[in-house]
Amino acid sequence: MKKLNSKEFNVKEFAINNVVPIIFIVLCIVCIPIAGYSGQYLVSQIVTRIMRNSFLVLSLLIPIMAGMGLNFGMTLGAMAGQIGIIFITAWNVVGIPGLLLAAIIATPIAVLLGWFCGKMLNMARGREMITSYMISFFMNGVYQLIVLYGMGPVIPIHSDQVILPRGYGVRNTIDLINVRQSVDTYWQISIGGVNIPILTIILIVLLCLVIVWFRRTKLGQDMRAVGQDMEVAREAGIKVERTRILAIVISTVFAAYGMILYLSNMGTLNTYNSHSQIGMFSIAALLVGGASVSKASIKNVFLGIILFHLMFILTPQAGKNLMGQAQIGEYFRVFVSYGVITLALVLYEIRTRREKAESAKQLANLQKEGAKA
Amino acid sequence: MSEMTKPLLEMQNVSKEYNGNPVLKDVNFTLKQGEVLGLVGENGAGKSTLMNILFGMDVIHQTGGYGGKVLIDGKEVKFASPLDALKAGIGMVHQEFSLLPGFTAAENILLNREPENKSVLSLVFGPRANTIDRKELQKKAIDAITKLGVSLDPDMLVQEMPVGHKQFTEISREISKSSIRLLVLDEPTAVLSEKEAEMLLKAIKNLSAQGISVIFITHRLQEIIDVCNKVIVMRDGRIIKELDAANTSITEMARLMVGRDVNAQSAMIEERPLSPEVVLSIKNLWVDMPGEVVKNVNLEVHKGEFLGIGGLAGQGKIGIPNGIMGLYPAGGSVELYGKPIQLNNPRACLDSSLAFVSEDRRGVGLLLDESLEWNVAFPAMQIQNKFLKQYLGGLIKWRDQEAIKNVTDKYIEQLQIKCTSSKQKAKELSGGNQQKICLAKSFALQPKLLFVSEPTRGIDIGAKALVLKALREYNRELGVTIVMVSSELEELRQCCDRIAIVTDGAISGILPASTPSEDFGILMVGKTGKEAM
Amino acid sequence: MSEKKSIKDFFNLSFYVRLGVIVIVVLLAVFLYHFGKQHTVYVDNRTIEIDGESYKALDWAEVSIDGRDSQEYSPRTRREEIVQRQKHTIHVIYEDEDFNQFEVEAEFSIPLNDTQVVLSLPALVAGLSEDQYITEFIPMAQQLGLNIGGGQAAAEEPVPSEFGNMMSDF
Repeated sequence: MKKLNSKEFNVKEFAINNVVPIIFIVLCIVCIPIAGYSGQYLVSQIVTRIMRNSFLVLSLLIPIMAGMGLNFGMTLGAMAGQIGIIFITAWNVVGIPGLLLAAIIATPIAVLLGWFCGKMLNMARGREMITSYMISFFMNGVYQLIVLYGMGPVIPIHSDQVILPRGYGVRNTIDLINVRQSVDTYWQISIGGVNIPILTIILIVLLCLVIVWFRRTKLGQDMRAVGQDMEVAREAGIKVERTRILAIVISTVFAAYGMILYLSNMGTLNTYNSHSQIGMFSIAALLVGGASVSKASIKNVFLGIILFHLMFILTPQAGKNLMGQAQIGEYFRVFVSYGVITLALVLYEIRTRREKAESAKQLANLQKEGAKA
Repeated sequence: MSEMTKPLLEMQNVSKEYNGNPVLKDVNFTLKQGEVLGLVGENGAGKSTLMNILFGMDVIHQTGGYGGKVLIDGKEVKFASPLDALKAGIGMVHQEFSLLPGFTAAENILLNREPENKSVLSLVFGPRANTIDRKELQKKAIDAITKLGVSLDPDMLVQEMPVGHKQFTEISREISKSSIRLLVLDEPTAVLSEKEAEMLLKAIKNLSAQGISVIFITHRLQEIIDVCNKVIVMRDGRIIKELDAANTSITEMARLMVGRDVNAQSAMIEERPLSPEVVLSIKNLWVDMPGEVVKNVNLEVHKGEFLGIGGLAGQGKIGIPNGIMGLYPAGGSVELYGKPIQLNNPRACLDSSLAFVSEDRRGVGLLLDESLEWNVAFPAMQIQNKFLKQYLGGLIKWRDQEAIKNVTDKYIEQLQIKCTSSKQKAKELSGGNQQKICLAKSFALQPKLLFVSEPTRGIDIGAKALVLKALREYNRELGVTIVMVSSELEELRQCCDRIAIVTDGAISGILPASTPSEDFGILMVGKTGKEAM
Repeated sequence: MSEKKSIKDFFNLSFYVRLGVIVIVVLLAVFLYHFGKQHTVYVDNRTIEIDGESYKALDWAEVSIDGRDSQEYSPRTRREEIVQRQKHTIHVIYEDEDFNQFEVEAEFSIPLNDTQVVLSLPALVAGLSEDQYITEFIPMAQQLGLNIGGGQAAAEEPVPSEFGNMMSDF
């Protein structure tokens, strides 16, 4: 029987479907010589960043699988992780036990926030992405209320390292000496002058395995079903709303853990900024890796982090070398981050419409031929 | 009667009304195990309603339930929801596929009934943490496919399947439910090619041989004869006759389907000669309108005529105007007065003075939150710059409020639209009056050719007559060529000069309106007069 | 016919397993808190007054905590030692005015919730009980209340800008 789509490798098709990563590869290739960094420096930087960000970007995969698009609400997970870190810093619990404890504290908070976010998104069907974007803003306000005013008087925290001199509210920046690099330095080997943190790699591999396993579970299958067609899934008896909420909850919890890893690697907490940046950059990285609103895989995650961060490292120096101002590179970074998200969203829409028209035409042709036969 | 010979399904005096309108009256029939029952009738005959009752659909309960009894194995049942029907072993395969495009056939067949491997984590995280047993999934899917007796690749993605295979996947899904005893197939062959239809009929015989009863709803009467044991012909909510499939003919069934009393033929329109000038020429038109696919329509509309387009639901008649007017993807060639019209471009049609009154008046026809004036005048204003006061040589265009009010009032009077004023919001009007506003909107455009689709759908009898009268006057007195699509054959026969019947996405024949209904009936079921013999 | 869910069904195996997991996690959290919490002990060699009695600073002392390298203490010295968990040993060799050397070994336990404590050497060698020679260390700012550092507070006041300082690394 005739298949509707031809499986031949078409260069044009490939280019159109992967235009974003291709643009980035070209950009990076151009900038590497201009920036003038050594290969070893770049490799070690990229390794660090992969270790730091993979967990966060991986958490985005599950909502995409469930058809809920890019989860801008991962910011909420980041907030939960941050709250965990704030507590363990105030209590001065150090090292890996500290991070574990932070994870344990963050989990119920992340579950709650994820559940709230999921419920909201269910009410805004078809407009999930913009809704999650708005929720992240709203929760940012709540977070600031709690962290800027609640911590200290209402939520007992008494560490002068964490609390502002005025006695309540958390400081802008907290030096996380207690957990800095704990996971990374736990077990480290050096290859060609580049430090490779083995424990972190193990954790990331574990998460990848979890995601692969997840796809094979009943819940994973249900999510894929819901992601394709909610009504068909509902008719088959799948609890659509609950499945969607679960997708967001799982994603938020992973984002919380990812944030904890991220902060441990960075060593500094920007209390009021880290979480919002994280959402935007993680999504941008995923899209750069070739993912789309409806389809994303683990390949996209790692490719995206590498490309996106290469750009991130190279552009200020390249801008400086080209124009004498590092600022140009800074602006370029911001421009590209937002630009790539816009581009991906627009491309997705164009592609969906094109595919619909194509399949309609093919179907009609097939009908015609079938009628003639 | 002993237990062994109790019929699987029995309906006794089943009736149903919607808001006082009876749609089913006194339906009685029985269905034995392994029997294949054919159910035929025009649209509105009551087939879907009957199946909805059988299947315990919400829409029945929410509108006052039904009268009479439904018995399974001799015991009365009351299905509160489709789930109850499923538990009793009744499966239904609809015309619109309920499939997930990105899943394989096997995954779709066992959707939400996948075999699982229990995992320890399910104790903590709940039953959905079990992994799916892929091997067992394949096996069960293949079992169902074999039971059906068709050739279907369990690993093929649904989105890559030809339509026939999607149909088989749907049916396999019902079969794979272990307790299946009765399968209802609603127009399954409508989307199949001849070869695929053959395979399906064989499959149905297969199922019947295995003791599964089938209710087969179709308009392709030849298939009824090929595969059914019994046939029920319905019309106007009643069972007209129960026939033995082996002893009937297509002609007999068609006659029973559309036959009307001779008296109703009196309100016929006077015949007039057909103008030789062709206004609209349609060649090889295809339209992808889900549910009303047009495959290959060739039609010529003559100047000043009132052409009717009829046919059974889902055959494509509604797709024709929707496709030409650019509301759905279309292809082929359409020429107005010899000039080609660009398809997939509503603006192009409107600019060429083609107007369309859609059957979807709430969705497409009206701006519900706007006033009647706005609704009537807007298209004319937008397309033809009517009702505008132009200043500075057309740079500034102001709405001519007075002109708008005048034209709206004119139509309100002419069509006797019941409203409080021309400023009332469109959504506050009744269905019939909303339809009249849609007409007025098109009239205001003063088009050269007017497409009207299901103009009297959902309108009471008095309003129906008015709408049809208005259309007739528009056609006869103002000479506007009208093409009217309608599922009510009698309506078409009252207004039109000629009537074309659409079957399977193509024109199966055009006859003068005065031709007896039965002849149209035969066209509707897909056979020309000669073949019906 | 739908199954009726009884109260008994609620307490099935899954329920107990979940309960068990939650209990384990909570216990783990408590354990981690104990195990991972770092305390700062400020070993203090200052004259201190406790209950009206004054304990003079030691002229010279050598202190080793938990067997670490000894640190020398002259009067008015305060050093910090960072330790984990509660129980620790302290070994002090000190001299009095007459250059007599004394050795004291003691075990002490830091109160769990105190992140920073002061251990007073004079009090320790004088044989006082643990409650008396270990006190919680409260930073000055908190002691004096909200009024302190008005200007400082203003400077510290966070101005959360929308997307942060782009100069900072990601």
